[in-house]
Amino acid sequence: MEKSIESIWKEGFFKETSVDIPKVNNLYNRKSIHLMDKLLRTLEIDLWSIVPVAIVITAGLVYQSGTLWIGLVTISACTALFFVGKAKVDQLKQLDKSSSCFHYLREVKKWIAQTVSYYTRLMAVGGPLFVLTVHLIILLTLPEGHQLTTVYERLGNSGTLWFIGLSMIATAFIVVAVYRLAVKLVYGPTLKKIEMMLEDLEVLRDEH
Amino acid sequence: MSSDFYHNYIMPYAAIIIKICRAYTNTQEDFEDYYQEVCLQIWRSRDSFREEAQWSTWLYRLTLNVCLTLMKKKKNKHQQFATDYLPEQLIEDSKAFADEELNLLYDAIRQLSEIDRGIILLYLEERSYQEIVAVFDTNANNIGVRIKRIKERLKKILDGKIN
Repeated sequence: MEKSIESIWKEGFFKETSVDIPKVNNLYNRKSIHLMDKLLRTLEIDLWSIVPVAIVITAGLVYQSGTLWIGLVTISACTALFFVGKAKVDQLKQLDKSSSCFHYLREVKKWIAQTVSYYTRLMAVGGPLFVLTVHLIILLTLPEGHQLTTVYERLGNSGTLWFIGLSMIATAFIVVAVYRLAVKLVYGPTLKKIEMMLEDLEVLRDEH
Repeated sequence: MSSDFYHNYIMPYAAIIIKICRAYTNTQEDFEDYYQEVCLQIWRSRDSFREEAQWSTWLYRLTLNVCLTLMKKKKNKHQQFATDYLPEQLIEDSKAFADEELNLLYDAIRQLSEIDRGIILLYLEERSYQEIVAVFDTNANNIGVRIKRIKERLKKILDGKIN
């Protein structure tokens, strides 16, 4: 090698007519695409997991109660949950990607907040309604003396009303708490990354 | 990041930041990511700069730390490359400069260990031994010997490529 390393370096950069400085604000696009792919994958898995869970719960409840009505209500509730979830995921997929990365992620963040709020209200209302329906099915369709109806028989009329009421309230709290915990565990890291990315983009957007 | 900060504190050193980022990446995409991360870290960490040190020294150290951290993250993710070596096959994106010899030199630099890359870059940028020692927090007596060894290594690699 004839030339020294130092010469190669100096002469090489002397020949460079301009130093290509990357534009800083456009460079989060790839990161946000990866993150959104991950979020969508997790949402799809979550959505389709309703199917096996619905089957298992329905089978369990039907077996336990001996009545198909509970199975029908459970399957209907799970199906409704599936289609609501699908509509929400489709909404996310349809968010406008042609705007800047910053605006897109901001819309994603808004979608997340709205979806969590929506599901929280749905669980808070839907959970107790489901429990009420199950109580009514047991009371109205199962014969006296059945292992499930004996609970109500022992409680009497007012006791049954209290039991139903309290179980509905408890369900509301439990279902919402479990939902929030699940969101934190499953989506927490991804949501945190979106927040951090938005903070970074906020820093960069004025200038570049 | 304010416009003033970027123009006054980063732009004057953009060329060397680019040169350093090029040595730790082999695709245009990665290079742009690294450059962006460095700029963000400089902005975020600006309050930790101590007036006793030179801004350039602090900036080089930060740039190298960011590049080393990102390389480590990438390795942990992909487990593709051995610690010090890139595959021999050249990746088209890595021909970042007009000068072919400079591209070959960069390919050779990328075959060095991560620390050695940083040392030789600062040496080639004519930073003083004092400054290189300050950036790498190493022994001043060793740096001269280390640079000599790195240069010999680079010569061997380049001789192999050219011949």
